[in-house]
Order: sequence, then structure tokens, then C-alpha cells
Amino acid sequence: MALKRITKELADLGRDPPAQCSAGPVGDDLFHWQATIMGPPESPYTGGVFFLTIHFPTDYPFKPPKVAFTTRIYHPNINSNGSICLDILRSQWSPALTISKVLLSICSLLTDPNPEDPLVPEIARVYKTDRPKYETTAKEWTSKYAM
Amino acid sequence: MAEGARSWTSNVLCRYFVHGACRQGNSCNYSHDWADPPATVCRFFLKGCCSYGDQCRYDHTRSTGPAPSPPEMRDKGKVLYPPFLSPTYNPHNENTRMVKLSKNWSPPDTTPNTAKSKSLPKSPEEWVKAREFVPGQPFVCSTVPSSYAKAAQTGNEIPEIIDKKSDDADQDNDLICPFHAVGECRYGENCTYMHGNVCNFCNAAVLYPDDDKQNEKHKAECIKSHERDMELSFAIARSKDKICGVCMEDIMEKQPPSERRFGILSNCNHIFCLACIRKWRAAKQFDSETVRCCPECRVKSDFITPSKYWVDTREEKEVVIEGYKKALSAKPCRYFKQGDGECPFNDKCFYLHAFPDGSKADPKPRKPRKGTNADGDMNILRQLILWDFLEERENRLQLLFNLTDLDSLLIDFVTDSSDDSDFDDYW
Repeated sequence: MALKRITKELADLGRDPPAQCSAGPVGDDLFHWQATIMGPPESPYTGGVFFLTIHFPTDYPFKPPKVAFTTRIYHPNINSNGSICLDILRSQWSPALTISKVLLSICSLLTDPNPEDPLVPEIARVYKTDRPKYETTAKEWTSKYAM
Repeated sequence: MAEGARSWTSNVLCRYFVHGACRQGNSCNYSHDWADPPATVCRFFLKGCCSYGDQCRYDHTRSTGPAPSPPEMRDKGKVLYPPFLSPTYNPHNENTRMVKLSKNWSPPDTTPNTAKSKSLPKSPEEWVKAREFVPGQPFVCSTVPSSYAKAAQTGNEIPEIIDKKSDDADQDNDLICPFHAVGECRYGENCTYMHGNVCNFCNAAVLYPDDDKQNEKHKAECIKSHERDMELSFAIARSKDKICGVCMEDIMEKQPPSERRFGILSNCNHIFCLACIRKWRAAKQFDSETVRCCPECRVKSDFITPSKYWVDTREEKEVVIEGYKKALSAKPCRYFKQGDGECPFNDKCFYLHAFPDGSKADPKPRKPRKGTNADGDMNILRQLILWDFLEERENRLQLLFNLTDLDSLLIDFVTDSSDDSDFDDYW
């Protein structure tokens, strides 16, 4: 069941790739993928290429995939380990979601951070109180780690 | 009364005397004169299918109609014939009771039936003596009821049959050749049976050339079955290319074929196969509100309805859901256990809540009792019955009565019910 669905998703990604994202298996193991996200144009991450790892559980799609950034990023909802605080990857997961949709959600999270539910409170505080400082730091990190 | 009875029965042949076993002798109220007509006529004989033949304890005679008079036949060594075996029998004058041909008729079915129905042999060894069915030749078939109950039931129809007999004379050609009906009759013009006209719907030659009423009936049946076929093919057509939102497979092409079932959500129209949506709704790691929602649109549906085919319109969906609920309401609820258990769904349960004697259970009042604890948190209490307290907690009650503060009494109840391990399962 899981393997079938992952194979289908891979085929769909090849046929109709989402904008600014790409994903594919690492080696022969279909349960372990690597993905890239291009920094969205209207965000401080523009120009950067961010790498992510995706691990599918054996009972996918009834459990969410484990998605994490491998590239460092300055974002209130992404910590230094690359963990992402996104409800659809945890309690609000739905089996109708696909990797393509998850990557698009992460893209929109990069454009619109959610400081009300932060993973890194310090960045959230800066984002809320001093937006120019947040943008400068995010741009710095992007050029330092993602270019 | 006795006088009257005597005068009525004195002209009726005693049936015990007929078998040589009347104990009343000369004082018998019935006639012991062979010339008098017998009183009890075998119903099966009238139907033409008495399996006892001349061993039957009832009289094989027809009180009305053209059958030969019984005393005469009894004198000839008690050999009696059912109507179709009688030497004077003419199939065109009798109600032959051959099964009317319908669209679903098929020759292999008829042959064994007709073969065994003839003289009804008593043992399988005698079946070979059954009269042969010769295609194209008149074959007289009497329906033999498969059980005694059926025999008794068909026996009740006798008056109707006798009545019909009078006007059967002009219906003597109501037999349609089964071979011509489904294709070709090799007897062609010489066939004894009628070769009907071709029905436009079923393409079988089963229409009577001169019986419009029968033809109308046949056409109505044809149209009905045609509509059923159309509905089925529409259902199959609209179920095609439906992709399950979870496994992303074409549901009608899933393997094995038993997996090709839709799980229909009551409040939205997203497509899932039954196995996937059931598995998702049974997922334990998410809270129950999340899994009860549609994975696509997150609209909550309280139940899913299994269906073999996809439904497009609201009306079709309601028909399927009603059918499902009806089927479930015939099955006993495994929580209610015929009154031994308690079903958490109460009157909302789709399954049958009935006691062993078949009487249906009344729904219990479903009012969650609420209480507030010392921290001001609202708690929903399990159903509290006074009897539960009176039964075994007399000491505790006394203790409670010593407390004058009503609030502390309430808090006590709250903490008590919260200790229940299955509290969460209930509400």
C-alpha cells in the first residue's frame, strides 16, 4: 500500500512538477527522499536553494512523512535541526495530502511565517518587533548557507 | 340437527366403507351404497398430481366436469386416472397448466421439471418411467409442488382453476414454442405449439399474436428489466475512473476485486475506497475529530456507507444510505447484547436493539449530567442511578448525609465518576 502510493506520487511529480520544488528518492530506497525548495521570490529567502529530507513511515499515507530541512534557514517555524513546525505534518495530517502539496505548504510558510506558533521564539520575537532586522538576517543566512 | 345431518349424509358414500373399513356397519350415517357419490374428493387429484394414485384414501373423482362417474371406475378394479392419463383426456380441453414462457425461459430448466412431473414416481428408480418430453409434440405438464405446504397452498386454488376451465376452451393455444422463442424450432410450420411474434425489447418470439393484454404485460416486464439493466450500466459507468483520494488507485480496477467498494461520506462528495477511509477513521494517533473529517475537505461525517458503485446525486446517495441503515437495523447490536449490555450510541445506534423475545428496546434518556469541580472545570458525569447508591453504599450515604454542604456533596460525585476507567469511552 505505502510503496504503491509513493510510486504513484513519484510518477505524478515527474509528470506535473510543482513550481519552485523538486523531490525524488535517494538511491534505491523509495521510503527515503530528498527535496529542494527554491526561495520564494517575494521573501528574504529568494535566490536560495534549500534541501530537505523526507522519510516515509511504513504506514504512509495514514501517518505523515517526516520532513526536515538539511540547509540552515532563519525562520520562526524552523529550528536549527531543520525541524519544521507545520500542523499538516503533525496533528492535522490528512492521507489525501501528497509530498507535492506538503512542499507547496512549506513554500508558503517561507513567505508567511507563523510567529504565533513559533519553534524558535527568538526569531518570532524579532519577526514581530523588528521586521527589517528579520529580513536582513534571513537574507544573510540564505546567501551564507543556501547559495 | 341429527335428523338433518342424517338426511344430508345418507346420500354420501362412506369413505371408510369404500376402503372396506367402516366400523359403524349398518348404523353408519353415510351411505354404504356404491351408487351414491363419495363425499371427499382428493384435492391433489383435482390438481392432477396426487402422488398416491389409486392407493389414495381420498376419492379420485370429479364432482363436476366430464370425468367418468366414480362407481363405474371403482367397479373396474379400482383403477383411476388423473385427468391427463385418463383415456378420454384431451389436452386442448383441460387446463394444461404449462408454465407460461417468460424472457428468462431456458430449455435445460424445463426438461427435468416436466420429466418428473408426469406420473410422479415414488422412488428414484421409477423416475426412468417418467414420460418423455418430445420437442414439438404436445406435452402435458402438471406442476408438482415441491413440499406438502406448497401442495396444500396450491390446493386452495382449486375453485379458481375449475372456474377457469370453462373459458379455457378458447385459450387452448396459449402455449408458445420455447424453441422458436429463443431461436429456431426445427419443426417449423408443423410445430404443435404456437410460434409467437418477436418482442422488440428482449428479441424473443414470445408475443401472442392475438392476446394484447398478455403482450402489454410482457412489454411492461421487458421495459422494467431494461430499466434495471440501464441503471446498473449507468452505475458502472459513473464508477469508472474514480480515484481514491488516499491510495490514489482507480477503485474499480483495484485488486483483488473484493476491494472495489466505495466508502461514501454522508456530508461531502469526495471519493475514497472503503478500505482506505475505514483505515483512516480507525487511526489512533490522531484525535477523533480529525479522523472523522473528510481527508480532502475536512468536513465532518459521522458515518460512512459502503457501496459497490459510486453515487453522483443527492437522491441516489440517500437511497444508498437508507438501504445501508435498513440492512444494519436487522442485525443485533453487539454492545446492546439483547439487553445484557449497554450501547454507548443508544438510540443513535444503527443496529438492532431488541430483547430475546423480539421486543424493541426503548431509547434511554440521553441527557449528559454535568458537574463543576472545585477548580471550576466542567465535568460530564456518567449516568447516575439512585439504585446504584442505595444498593451497596449505605455506609457511604450516611456519611454523605452528615455533610450539610451541598457543594461538597456534588464534588464527591464528580470525583467518584471521574475515577471510572471507561469514562472516555462513554462520552
